[in-house]
Amino acid sequence: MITVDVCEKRFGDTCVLRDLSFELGAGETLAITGPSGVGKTTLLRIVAGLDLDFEGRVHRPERLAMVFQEPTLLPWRTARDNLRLAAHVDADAVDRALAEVGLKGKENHFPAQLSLGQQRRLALARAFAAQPELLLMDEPFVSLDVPIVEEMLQLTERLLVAYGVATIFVTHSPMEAARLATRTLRLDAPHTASGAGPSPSAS
Amino acid sequence: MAADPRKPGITALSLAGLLAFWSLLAIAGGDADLLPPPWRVAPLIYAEAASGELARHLVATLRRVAMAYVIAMSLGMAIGMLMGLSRRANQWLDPWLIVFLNLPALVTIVLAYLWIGLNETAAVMAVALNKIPTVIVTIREGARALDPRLDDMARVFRLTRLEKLRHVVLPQLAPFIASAGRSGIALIWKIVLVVEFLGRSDGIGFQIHLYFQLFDVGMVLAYAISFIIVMLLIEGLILQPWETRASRWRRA
Repeated sequence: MITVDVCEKRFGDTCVLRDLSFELGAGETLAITGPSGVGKTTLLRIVAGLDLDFEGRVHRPERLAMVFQEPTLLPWRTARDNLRLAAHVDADAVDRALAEVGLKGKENHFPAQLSLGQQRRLALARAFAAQPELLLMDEPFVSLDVPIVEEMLQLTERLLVAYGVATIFVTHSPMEAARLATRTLRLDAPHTASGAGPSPSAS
Repeated sequence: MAADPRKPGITALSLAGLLAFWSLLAIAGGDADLLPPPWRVAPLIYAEAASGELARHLVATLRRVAMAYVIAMSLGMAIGMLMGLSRRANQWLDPWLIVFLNLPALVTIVLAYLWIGLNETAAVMAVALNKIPTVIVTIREGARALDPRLDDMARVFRLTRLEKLRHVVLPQLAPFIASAGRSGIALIWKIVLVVEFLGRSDGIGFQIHLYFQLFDVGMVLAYAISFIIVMLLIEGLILQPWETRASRWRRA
């Protein structure tokens, strides 16, 4: 079980997040939506433990994985090594994970030799291969063409069902939230989070 | 960082031109004691090599180069990374860095000999101290340019310190390390000769000092040229292939 309880998060004098708490269990997928600049990514970074400068408490499992806004791959390592190094799995598991996202035959390619869509699929494969207890995704489909977004959505749906991992993902798109999430948390104005609190609106 | 693709033909021709220029100067000067032509220097190199003298002094010098190089690179990299990653460390250490950057090599060498004594430790220390500040400056630049997003990735996926250093940090620093290493060799082998000139009893610098006092230009050139050739071989056979390998992913 993951519990997040953020009393306050400020950047200097600006309060970004206030009185926000939720829980999440295995197999659940929580979508965080809201306009730009509302603190969605900040919240995700707090949950991930990348931002420790806030008031409140986060209880998170030991094994995390994250899909970042950009693929965030190591340009100097091949697709196979990128997956192996981050997920800490053996060669067989790597090849299986790559095949799962349709990157069979690309094992020895460097990230720059892959298209953006392929890089994002590699980032997705890396996150699932790590066998996390909590998966975080920050706008994983942003800046992709529409048909590729659809392809990625189907892939992600399939992986989420197969792995049943507790997932929090940030998105601009209500459609993505509706497709993937079991619950939605909508952040609104920078100072108040409606729908926040212990019972985020279900969808 | 990628150098122009080398054209071996042009390099050879250009070097032949240098030899021709030297020969012309020697003939025009007409004084073989002041500037002996290449065909007078070559037998001297051969004679010194055959007697084993050249190898003995070359080894002594190369050992000092290697020791000073290893010390300067490892200390310079450690301090450079610290200063690049920590603002506070940088604020405290930067004034020292500026002082050491502007310290003339001769001053470091003389002081090292006066304080430590006319020995090997002083010689190597003096050379390393001259090189450390420039390594720090280069590596600090690299550490400041490290990508914070990759740092986040390493933290979320729980990479160990060693994994992070090897797969995330060092590849990003590689061009800076290569640049520091390259200019490092070039600077160090020049300073080593001065150190030997001033206070050692073997090494290329000592031999040059000896033949300087005997006013034997031929032998000075013989030792200088042998050493330059060795250093160019080290550069071409070790440093360049390493750099090519480290930057393979850029051209993929």
